[in-house]
Amino acid sequence: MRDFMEGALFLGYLVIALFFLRFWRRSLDRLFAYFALAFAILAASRLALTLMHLPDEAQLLIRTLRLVAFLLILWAIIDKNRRPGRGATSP
Amino acid sequence: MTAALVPLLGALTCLACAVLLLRGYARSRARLLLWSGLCFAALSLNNLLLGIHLDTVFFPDTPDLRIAIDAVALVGVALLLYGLIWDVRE
Amino acid sequence: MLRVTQDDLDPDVRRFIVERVDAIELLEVALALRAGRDRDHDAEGLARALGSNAASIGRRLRALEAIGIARPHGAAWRYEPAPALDDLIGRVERAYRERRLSVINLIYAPKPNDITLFSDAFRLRDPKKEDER
Repeated sequence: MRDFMEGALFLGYLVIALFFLRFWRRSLDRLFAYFALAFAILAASRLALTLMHLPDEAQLLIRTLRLVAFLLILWAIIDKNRRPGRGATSP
Repeated sequence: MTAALVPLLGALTCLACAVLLLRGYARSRARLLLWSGLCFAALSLNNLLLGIHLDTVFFPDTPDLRIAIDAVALVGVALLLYGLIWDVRE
Repeated sequence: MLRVTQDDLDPDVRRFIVERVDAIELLEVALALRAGRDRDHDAEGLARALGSNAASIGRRLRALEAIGIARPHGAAWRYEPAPALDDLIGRVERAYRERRLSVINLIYAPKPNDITLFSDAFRLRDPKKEDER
């Protein structure tokens, strides 16, 4: 059961990342690029958890990946609130 | 103690996202913001439970508990996926 | 992305323009129909009067029908809105007369969609106030 949920979460995060990627291409808004990357990294952390037969999220690699993902989201919010430009990806 | 830091940071980050998105939903009634706000709320709860779980001995490490913690995240992800597939007006 | 707020316009007028009007031509056709509300119109006549082509005017007429402003009777078109809508169009017409550029800016400003709304939600300060620079 656990494996099933892990697999479902992996796929879920990945698909969400792909949607955010699409939103980024549509809007050229950097925020979506950060979110896409963050969710992709969350997906990768799930994958690593399984592939490496790690017992849980306390492992350093997993913690580091998730930390990077959350920092990316925080940075996306900070970046959105800095002037000027307001988040457009420079062409 | 340090094992819980990342999940707790995650919980706060996701909570911030949830609050901002649900505030946006209150303003604009755009349903995508509702689903994504709820997703981040669920992810925040998931991270909070994870943080508590990793760091204390209050919870025995039963498989059921891990499944329940994962289930919270899965509910959030399912809500957001539903919203992304059905409720995005472009 | 430039987001334009026109706070000088009536909110109902703004909403109508943002939600329904995607080009000046649509607005001009509606107003021309309204100006000659007791007459029949056709695409060719309107095209000559407004300086466009009949095909384009025809498309706009059908769009106005979908909004509920114009009704076709055979080949002719008439201005036939519900009374409340007529009142709104009157206000739109006055806004267009008195604040032409505001209306034009609003017509061609990027329309809010879910993607921009999602992104805007992360602006900590009120997005509406942000645009007044």
